[in-house]
Amino acid sequence: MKLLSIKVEQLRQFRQPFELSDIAPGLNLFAGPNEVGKSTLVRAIRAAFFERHRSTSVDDLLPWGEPSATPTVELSFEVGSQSMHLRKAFLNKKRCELKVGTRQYDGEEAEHYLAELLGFGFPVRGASKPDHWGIPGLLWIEQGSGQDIAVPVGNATDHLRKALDQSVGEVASSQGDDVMTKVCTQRDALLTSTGRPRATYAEALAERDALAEQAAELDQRIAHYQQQVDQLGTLSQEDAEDQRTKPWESFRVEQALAEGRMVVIEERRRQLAADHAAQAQLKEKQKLVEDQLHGFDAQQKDLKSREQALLEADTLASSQKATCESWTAKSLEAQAAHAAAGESLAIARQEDLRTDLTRRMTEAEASERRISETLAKAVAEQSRLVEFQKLAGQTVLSKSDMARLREQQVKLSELRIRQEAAATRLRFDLVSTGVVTLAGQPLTGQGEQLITVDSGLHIEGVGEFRIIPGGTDLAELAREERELLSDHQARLQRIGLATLADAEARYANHQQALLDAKHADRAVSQLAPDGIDALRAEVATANSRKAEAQGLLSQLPSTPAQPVGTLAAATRRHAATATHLETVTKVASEAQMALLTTQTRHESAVRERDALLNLLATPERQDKQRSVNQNLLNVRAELDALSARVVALQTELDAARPDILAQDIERFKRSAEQSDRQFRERSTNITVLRAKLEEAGAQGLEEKRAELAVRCDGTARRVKELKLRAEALDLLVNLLDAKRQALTRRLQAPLQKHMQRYLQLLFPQATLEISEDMTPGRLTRPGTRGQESGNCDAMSFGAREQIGVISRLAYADLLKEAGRPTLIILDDALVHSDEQRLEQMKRVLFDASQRHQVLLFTCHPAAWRGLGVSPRSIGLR
Amino acid sequence: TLTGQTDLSGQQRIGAAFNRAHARARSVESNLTGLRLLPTAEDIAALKADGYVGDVIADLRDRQGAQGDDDARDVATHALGILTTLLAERQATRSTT
Repeated sequence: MKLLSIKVEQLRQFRQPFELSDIAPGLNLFAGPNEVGKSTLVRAIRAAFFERHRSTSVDDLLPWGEPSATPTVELSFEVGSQSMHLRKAFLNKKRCELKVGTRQYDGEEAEHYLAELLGFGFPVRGASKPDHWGIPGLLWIEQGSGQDIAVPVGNATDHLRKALDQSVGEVASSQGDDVMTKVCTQRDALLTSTGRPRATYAEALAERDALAEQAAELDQRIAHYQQQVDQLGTLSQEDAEDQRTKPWESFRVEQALAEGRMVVIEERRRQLAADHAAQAQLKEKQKLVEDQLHGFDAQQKDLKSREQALLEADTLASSQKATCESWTAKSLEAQAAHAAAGESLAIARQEDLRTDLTRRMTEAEASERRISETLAKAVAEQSRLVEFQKLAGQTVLSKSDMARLREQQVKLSELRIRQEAAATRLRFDLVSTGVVTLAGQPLTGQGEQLITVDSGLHIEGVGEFRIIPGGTDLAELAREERELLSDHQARLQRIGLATLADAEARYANHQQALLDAKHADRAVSQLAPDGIDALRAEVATANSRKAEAQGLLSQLPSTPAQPVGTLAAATRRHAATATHLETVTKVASEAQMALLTTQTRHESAVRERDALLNLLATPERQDKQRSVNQNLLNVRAELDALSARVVALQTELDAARPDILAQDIERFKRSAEQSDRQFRERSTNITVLRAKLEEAGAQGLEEKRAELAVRCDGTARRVKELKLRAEALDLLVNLLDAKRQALTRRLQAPLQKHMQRYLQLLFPQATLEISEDMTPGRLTRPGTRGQESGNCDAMSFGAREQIGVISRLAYADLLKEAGRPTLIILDDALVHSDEQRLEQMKRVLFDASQRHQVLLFTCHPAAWRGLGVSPRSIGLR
Repeated sequence: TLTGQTDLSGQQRIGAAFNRAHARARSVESNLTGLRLLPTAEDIAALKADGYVGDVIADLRDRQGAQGDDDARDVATHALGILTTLLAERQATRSTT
C-alpha cells in the first residue's frame, strides 16, 4: 500500500484545507515543532480508516470552538496496482466515498471494503477502539506506545496467523485443537496431571485389589478346611488303633504288681519299727539297772565322806573352844577398864563445875561494885540538875521582853541624834568663869552646847539672851523621846531592874543556867538510861547472883588429893573404852555362837554315819545287789540279739527302694489315666471336627472361590482395558502436543527469519525467540560473561521500544509476503534511543523502506539526519 | 458382550444396532469393551485429517506396524481407535449441521 497524498479540512488545527502531496513510495520524514499538526495528520489517517463516518463519538476532530464544522479527510493511495481515493466527512455533513479504479463505493459499503482490504474491524457503536484496529493498529505506532507490543499483536493475531499459513502454504489443522481438547478431557477423566490413576480407573484398581484380598482370604479358609480333613483322617486312625490295643489296661496291670510289692515292703517296715521300739525299751531297762548299781556305789562313797566330815568337825570344835575362852577373858578386862574411865569422868565433871561457880561469883562481885559507883555519880548529877533548874527559875527573862528593850534603846539613841542634828549649836570660848549661864547652867572655858528648847543665855552683868531653836519638829522629837523613855523605864521596873545593862546581865545568867541544867540532865541520862531506880535494882540482882554461887560452892565435896585431867580428855577416854568393850563383847559372842553351831553339826554327823553303817550292814541289802548284777547281764544279751535282727531288716528295706516303688505306682497310674483321657478327648475331637467339616461343606467354599475367580477375572480385564485406554489417551495427548508444537515452530519460521534480519542490524550475533502468541520472547546475545539471556519485558524502555519497532517491521514483512497491504507510520518514535542505537535503527528503517512505505513524524529532525531522506516541514504557515 | 475387531463402519453399524435394540427391548445389556476398533486405510482417508492431527495419525500407524513391543503396539492401536472415533463423531456432527 502506498499513500500518495492526504488532504484535511476543518479538522483540529487545520481549519483551512491542508494537503500533503507527493508522498514518496519508500521512506518519508515529516518534521515540525510541537503542536504544528503532525499528530493531527496521523489521527486524520486513523479516522479515515477506523472511524465510521456516521459515528458521533469523534468530537475530538472538530477545530476548537467550531461545533458546526465538518472535519473532512481525503486520501489517495495505491494497493497493489489499484489506485484508490477515499473521502470521509464526519459529524455535520457525514459522508464516505471510495473510488477503486472506476468503481465507486459509498457509506458502509466503502468502510467494509476497506476493513476487509487492510485487515481491521469496526465497533458495533461508538468510537473505534484498539481491539478493532487489527493490522494497522500494529503497524501504525502512536506517540509513546512503541514499546507496547503484546496487546496490538493480540488484536492482529488472526490476520498474522492467516499470513503465516499462507506463507508456509500449510493448513495448521482444521480440527486439531478441538480434538486435542476432547482427548485431554478423556485423559483427565482417567489420570491425574501427574499421571496417577483417578476416578473409574482408580476405583477399578481398588476393586481388583479388594477382590484379590477376598480371594486370598477364601484360599486361606479352603486350606484350613483341607487341613482339618487331614487331621480327621489321622485322628480316626489313632482312635481305631487305641480301641484295638487298649494301652491303659497294660499300665493298670503294672500298677497292681507294684502295689503288691509295696504291701510286702510296708509289712517289713512295720516290723522294723516294732523292733526299734523293743530295742529302746531294753536300753531303758539296762539304764535303770545300771542306775541301781551306781546307787549302791554311791552309798559306800557317802559313808566314807561322812566319816571324814565327822573328823573335821571334831577338830574344828576344839579349836573354836580355845578361841571362845580367850575372847571371854578379854571381854572382862574391857568391862573393868570402862568402869574406871566412868569414875574419872565423874570427878572431872565435879571439878569443872567448881571452877565455873567460882568464876561466876567473882563476876557478880565486880558487877555489883561497878554499878554502885555509877549509881553514886548519877545521884550527884541529879542534885546539880535540880540546882540549875532552880537558878534558871529565879533569873527568868523572856527573849521577847529582851528584844523589846533593846529595840527601845536603839530608837532612843536615834531620837537623840536627830534632836542634836536639828538643835542650835552654841560654841563658846570664855575667859571668865561663872558669868555666863545657859538655862541656868554656868558655861566655862571652851565648849559647845546644843540648844533644842527655848533657852535663856544669861551673861552676868550683861543681861539675858533668849535662844529659840529654829527646827520645826524639835519639840515633837523631844516629846517622842520622853514617851519612849517612860515606857522603857516602866518595862525595866516591871522586871525589877534599873538599866538595860542589868537586864542584859540577867538574861545572860538565865541562859547559862538553862545550858548547865541541860548538860546535867544529859549526864544523868547517860549514867542511868533507865533511871536511877533501875540501877539500884541491878545492884540487888548482882548481889543475889553472888550469894547463889557461894551457896552452891559450899555444897560441893572437897577437892580430890591427886590432880585430875581435863573434862574433855576424860570424856574421850570414856568413849574409847566403851567402843573397845562393845567390839570385844561382839567377837566373844560370835565365837560362842560358832562353837555352838559346830557342836550341833558334829552331833548330827555322828547320827547320820551310824544310820548309814547300820543300813549297809543288813543281809537284804547284799542280796539285792547280787540280783541286780544278774539282771544287767540278762538285759545285755537280749539287746544284742535284737540289734542283729534290726540290721537285717534295714538292709532288706534299703534294697527294696520303697520311694522308687511308690513313684512307679504313680507313674503307671498316671500313664493309664492319660492314655484313657487321650482316647476320650480324641473321640470328642473327632465328633467336633466332623461337625465343623460338615458345616464348612455346607457353606460351599469352593463354589464361592470359583465365583470370586470369575469376578476377579472380570475386574482384571476391566483394569487392563482402562489401563490400555489411559495409556492410549496419554500417548495421544503427548503426540498431539508434540506435533502441534513442531508445527507452530515450522509456522513461525518465516517470522523468525524476518525478525532475525532486523535484529542482526540492531544487536549483532543476538537471537530472539518468538512466543507461541507471536510476541517477542527471550533475547540471547553475547555479553561480558559469555551468552546472556533475558526476557524482552525486563529490558530498558529504550531497548523495548527498539525491539517493538523491529518486531512490527518483521510482521510487516510477513504480511507483505502474504500479499497484504502494508503501511508503516511512526509518530515521534524512538525518542528514548541513544545516538548509537538510533544510527542502527536508521539502517533498520532504511532497509524496511525498501519493501514498505514508511511515514516518520518527528519534532527532532536533526536526530534523523543520515536517514537518507530530507525532512519535509509541516506547518500551517 | 461382543469381542473382536471391526472397522469404523462396522463399529457404527454395531452401535446403531444396539441403539435399535435398546429402543425395542425393555432390558438390553451391552458390553463393547472387548470390541476393538481397527480403522482401515480407507476409513482414515475418509476422515480427511489435516495438519498436525494428520501427523499424529501417521505416527500412530507407524507405531502399529513397528516390530517388538506388543504392548506399545496395542496402545498405539487403541489410541488410533480413539482418535478416529473422535474425528468420525466430529465429521458426523458437521455433516448433520
